[in-house]
Amino acid sequence: MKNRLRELRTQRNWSQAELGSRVGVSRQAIIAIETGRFDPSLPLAFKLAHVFGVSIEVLFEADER
Amino acid sequence: MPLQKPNIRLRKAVIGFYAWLAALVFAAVAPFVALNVLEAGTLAARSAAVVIGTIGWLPLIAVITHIIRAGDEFNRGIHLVALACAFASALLILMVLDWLSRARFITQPSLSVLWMIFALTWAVWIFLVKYWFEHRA
Repeated sequence: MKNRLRELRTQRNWSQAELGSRVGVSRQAIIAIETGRFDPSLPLAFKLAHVFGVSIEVLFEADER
Repeated sequence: MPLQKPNIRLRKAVIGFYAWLAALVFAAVAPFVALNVLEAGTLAARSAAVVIGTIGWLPLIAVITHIIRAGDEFNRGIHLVALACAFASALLILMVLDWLSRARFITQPSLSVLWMIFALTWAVWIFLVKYWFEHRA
């Protein structure tokens, strides 16, 4: 699953650790999501979208099958 | 959502580390204590050895369970994958050892060796899965 996490995070000058704290996960989790190694659960995806003030569709994009 | 203060997170991490370390030491010492108790050979001593040998691992299991439950979904995911891989590996190791001993290449391994191998397999898989998630290109 593609995402715009890094783009939106750097726009706000947030570190990975800071974003992790805002949504209640570790920095490693943010790194893994940003690099596409880990797909977040729906509740976490909603939290991430909420802290960025965007809809979940803006933040995440499903891979073409 | 409010930011969690770094010093609170650090304190939790330090407490968790020391709890894990203490539990690990307890688990490592317990078998030796149990073996010493076992030497007495009486029914009471044998029973005590079983209890001490088993109880020694409970704090470690409790601490690890707490660490996994306290972690985020990424951390839990790592442990879930590691546990699945460790179980499959342990089963494979068990089958290989069984067939090696049936074919008389080795003598039947003791249960003490087996549970140590299984514990080690679990630890190795946690390390490997963590590495895979955090460093995969």
